[in-house]
Amino acid sequence: MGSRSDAESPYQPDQLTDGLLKTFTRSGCLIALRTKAEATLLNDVQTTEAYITEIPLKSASAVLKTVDSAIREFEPINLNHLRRLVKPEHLPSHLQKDEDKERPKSWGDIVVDPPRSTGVGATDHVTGFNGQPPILHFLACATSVISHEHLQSLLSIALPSLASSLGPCVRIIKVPLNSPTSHDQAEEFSRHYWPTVYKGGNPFGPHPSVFARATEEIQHQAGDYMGLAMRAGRATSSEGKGEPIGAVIVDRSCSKGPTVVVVAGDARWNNIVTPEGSGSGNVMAHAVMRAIGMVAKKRLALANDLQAPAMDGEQPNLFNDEPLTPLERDVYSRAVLAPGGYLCLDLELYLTHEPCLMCSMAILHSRFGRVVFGQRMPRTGGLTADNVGGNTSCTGDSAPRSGYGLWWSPGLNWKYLAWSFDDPSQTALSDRDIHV
Amino acid sequence: MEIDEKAMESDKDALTLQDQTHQQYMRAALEMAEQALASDEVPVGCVLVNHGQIIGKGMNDTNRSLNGTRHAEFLAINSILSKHPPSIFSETDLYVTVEPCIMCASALRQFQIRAVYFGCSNDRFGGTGGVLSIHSDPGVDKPHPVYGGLFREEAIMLLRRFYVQENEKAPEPKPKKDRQLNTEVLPLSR
Repeated sequence: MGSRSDAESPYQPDQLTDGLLKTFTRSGCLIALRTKAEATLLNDVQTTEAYITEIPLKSASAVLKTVDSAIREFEPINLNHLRRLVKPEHLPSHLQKDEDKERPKSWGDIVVDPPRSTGVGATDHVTGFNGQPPILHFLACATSVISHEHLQSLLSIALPSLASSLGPCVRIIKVPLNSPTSHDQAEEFSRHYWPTVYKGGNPFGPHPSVFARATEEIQHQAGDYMGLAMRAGRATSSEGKGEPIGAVIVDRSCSKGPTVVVVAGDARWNNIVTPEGSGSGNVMAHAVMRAIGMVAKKRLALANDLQAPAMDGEQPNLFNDEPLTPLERDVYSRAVLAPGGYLCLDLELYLTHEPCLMCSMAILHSRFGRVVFGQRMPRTGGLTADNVGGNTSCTGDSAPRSGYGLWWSPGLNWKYLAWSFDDPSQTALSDRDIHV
Repeated sequence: MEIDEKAMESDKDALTLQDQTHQQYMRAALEMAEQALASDEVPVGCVLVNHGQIIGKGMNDTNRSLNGTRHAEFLAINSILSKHPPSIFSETDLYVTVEPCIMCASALRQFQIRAVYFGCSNDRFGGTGGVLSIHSDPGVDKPHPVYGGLFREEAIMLLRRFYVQENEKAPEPKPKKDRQLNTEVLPLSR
């Protein structure tokens, strides 16, 4: 084990104050994780085909009314997230360009009456009016709802003046089938497909405002807790007890403000029969499991009205749910949990690395509210979902990806918020197959 | 003809013997679940078997410990690791009355367990087929086989006997006096 600069200064008891937290603070930014459903949608935006056409601004409401009342009787496809009427300047660029140049030949078959389909079409038509009446682009409906001919006849009814001279040019474009899950995605859809509205809410994950409020609440101290978590991991690993992985549990509901209640480093090599370095060691002694165990011991002590938490006596303790380092002992002996709490409900967890699937589910069982972690663990992590369906061959990396996204699983009985903490200077685990 | 019959006969014997062995271990796991029930814990029990020897037993302990991660498997593993190296699990089988949850399934695969035998499946949290299939998913650890359905009805009845009780610790205890223990277990639909 090489020496590390800031791990060498001995931990002084009674320093767990803002001072200590600030000394080891990390700078970085919080990135809200994507749920598995969001990641899947992102990799593979589902689209459908829809009719669009240009109509004079003054006839817009008449056309909308005619088309909508006609398609009401057919099986509808919900495209409420797409704007129906769009000004030319708001079209995505790939549709805009077509304004100024000739229509591609492929549109020929759907441009009807008069058969000037290969000509300059609507542009010619619009400029044909001397006053250049303003036009709008109209999204009629999905192509599966009504036939092209049907739509054409509806437009002729709504636009009798045009039908006699030059029929509106109907085009078919790809549009996203599902509502966007954020403003960002709506903008992306608007750029690539058709002007799209984000109406708030998110059927595929937590409401963005929930994430935004929580991020606002935790971002100022997140770096401090991440620094402390790193220190906790270095404390156990420098003693050969575990890997340099650490966890910090914070109670934000304390009357005196956010309070660290437990810190724990990884202890997978502590007190086991084989020496360090072979296999996975004691999986039960991952930092998260130890931290949860220490919260439980504190609760037990509170419930039994004991001054010092009861030890399990002659029972073997390979859970390692007792403080092992001076840092852990100091926090454990002084931090006070609010009485009457349940498991880890409403507590926050800060981790140097993305937890493995076991720990991710332990977090869920313990009813944590928020989790922040440093380094992503694409092969073993249980929280990130970005690897779903991802093509690994392009990176030359054929190792399996996890991508469980366990923090927000519709089928499970608890959900929590999860962020990665982007910190360029964090301790990267060299073994990418390690379970955290 | 005669040889064939004999061969079949001996196959059958071997199977029955194997079945009996599995049943014996699952009965031991059910006994642990009974103990859990007697201690007001969700009745799940398990044993771990290495070369024909039960090397660890566990029962659910979440209520006593106030720790939602103290599942039967973890208690059994805790007792084993005080005497054996973690490498023992690659030659060890788990018998557990209820399908391991996602947390336990991930722990078992990381410990390189040889095989898992369970009673009833766990549609809410199951990690070996119920919700996720961690034992067989692509992953950095070796996958392992899982066999379900051994004494399934007994495992379900234990859970029902627990949930028919009144929970004094609940914020608003629900009177369950009129509840009757449902003893009918629907067969598995395949």
